[in-house]
Amino acid sequence: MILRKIDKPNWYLPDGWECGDAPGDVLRDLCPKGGRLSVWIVEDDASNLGRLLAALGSTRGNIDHIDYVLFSFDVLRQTDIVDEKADGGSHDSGANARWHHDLIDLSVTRVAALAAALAALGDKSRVRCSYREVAEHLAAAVDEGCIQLEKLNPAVRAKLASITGERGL
Amino acid sequence: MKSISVQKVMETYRAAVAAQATDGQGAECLTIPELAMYSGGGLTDRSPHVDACGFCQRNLVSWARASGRPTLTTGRVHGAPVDQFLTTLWERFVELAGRRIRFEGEVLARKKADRSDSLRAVLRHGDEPSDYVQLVLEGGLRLTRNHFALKMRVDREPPLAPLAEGELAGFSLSLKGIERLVLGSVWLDTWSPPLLEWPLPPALVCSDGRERWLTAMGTNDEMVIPAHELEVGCVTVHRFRYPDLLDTIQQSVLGGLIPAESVTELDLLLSRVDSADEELHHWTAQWGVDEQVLSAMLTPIRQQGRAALLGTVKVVFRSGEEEELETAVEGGVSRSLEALLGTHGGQAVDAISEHIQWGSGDSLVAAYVLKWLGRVNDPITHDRRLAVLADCLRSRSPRLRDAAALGLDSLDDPRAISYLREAVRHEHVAELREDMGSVLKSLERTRRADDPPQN
Repeated sequence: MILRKIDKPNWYLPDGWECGDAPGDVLRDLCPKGGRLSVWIVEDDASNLGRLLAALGSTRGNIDHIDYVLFSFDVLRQTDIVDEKADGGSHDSGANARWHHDLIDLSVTRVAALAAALAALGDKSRVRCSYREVAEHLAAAVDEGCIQLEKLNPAVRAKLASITGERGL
Repeated sequence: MKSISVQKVMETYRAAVAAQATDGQGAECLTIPELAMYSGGGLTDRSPHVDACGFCQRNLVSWARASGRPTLTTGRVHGAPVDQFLTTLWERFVELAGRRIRFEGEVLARKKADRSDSLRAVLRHGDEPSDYVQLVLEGGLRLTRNHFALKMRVDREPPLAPLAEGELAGFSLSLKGIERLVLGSVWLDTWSPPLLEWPLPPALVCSDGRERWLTAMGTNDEMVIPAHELEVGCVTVHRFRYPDLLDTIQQSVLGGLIPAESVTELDLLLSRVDSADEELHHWTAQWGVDEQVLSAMLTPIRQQGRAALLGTVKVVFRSGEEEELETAVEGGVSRSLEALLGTHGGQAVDAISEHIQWGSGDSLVAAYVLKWLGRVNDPITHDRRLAVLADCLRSRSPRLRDAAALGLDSLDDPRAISYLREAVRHEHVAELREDMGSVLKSLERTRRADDPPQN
């Protein structure tokens, strides 16, 4: 499976729209840079999902929720999009090396096709990880040595301490 | 633009008195512009042998008598109730503080003086470091101390052209402890003929105890006057006519927005709003003045303060449209918002709420701000932020409803549960309903965890 970070409200269908269509706002979430779009590979058993979410949360200035869409490689084939391994920019160097990919050679047509294909998957493909869950994943990643605590933003460290402390993590 | 000497002042004064005398208004009849010119602490300070303040005050009284200007006896001003007089007085002060004082300069220093109701701002106003305007707002407009005064000093010649070319005069109102005499609070180091071109509507009022009061003023002694002998001395100045400057000034002051570090008229206005309630209760208690009337008096001040704050919020939102906003990344918008919150507290929250509810601006920015409202750590405004977020659960925009729910999640206050339940019940976007439900469950868990164990 492939994970792409999104902002769920971009995908809300306005009243009266046909299911399967997508508001133009979804393109905000699929806007390539240099023809490339960053994605993460989720193992079939989703065993690395928590670590990926921690990696995504690790570079932020605050602990916040993460919205993402999960889709299969079939979607790439349908839309004639190719992916390639690329180093990720998170504070989890292991995750960066193992699970980060870029969708490459993205043209307007391919991006639009991807948007339509993802929208057609419906709202079940879009997931929200609450800030509490992000905190837990981050705490776990730090505990397991995947992410060095000192690399996190001080605000994240403080919040992490308060959240995990409250929950006895 | 030129400096004026004391001799010149006296010459002009004598000439003016003579001219007034020929108008049949009496030898001691003066116009306020003249008084503004003759008197002033600056002249007094610089020429101790000219007792400008007491001198002019006496002449004011004489002039008022001669020209049939209103005098205040306890409770009445020529048949008008005291509160009506005070309303007028206040409005004129609003004019003075709200319109006359415009700054384009960079703030060099701002400090709250030891007296909690004083504000001193030194603003640079020009390219040279020595070009600055010093504005001292004493008494902070708090009538609780029965005194307020506005003192302005132009220490260099232009670039302060707007102030110098418009009317520049002092304003001081003393109701009890006379710290600075009428007109004595203002001094002009520069003077220009246009000063006299705008007539300054005078108002001089004093009670039956005026002789005692004047004696005290003449010697600058502090005196206490019982409430039933309420005395008011006032010279008002006319509005400042520089409407064209407003936009430029707002842009220059607010454009580089660091509200917490800016001293603008906005701050002055808001400081009045801050003290308004206190004043209201004080006046009501002290003089038994109708609270509704006093509340009405304060309304224009509140409105101006609110309008100014809304203007600032608008600028912040606009800056957000050009910023790549991500909730979890602190950027210029969140720093500006923090500064606003730090400076204006709950009023800032109200202004943000109002701006969002107008539906003006970018909904992405509004959503960002709502999420920020939930996240920011500010216990003082916690309840207000809760209310705003709860309110926005009913927004027409699903994006804002989502942001409000996320904000409430971050706020982590079980009081939001009932609002969220209601929102979940009415939410027609399935995906959003589900996300709201998750927040609801999360808060319910929090509440259960906080509940004391049942034995």
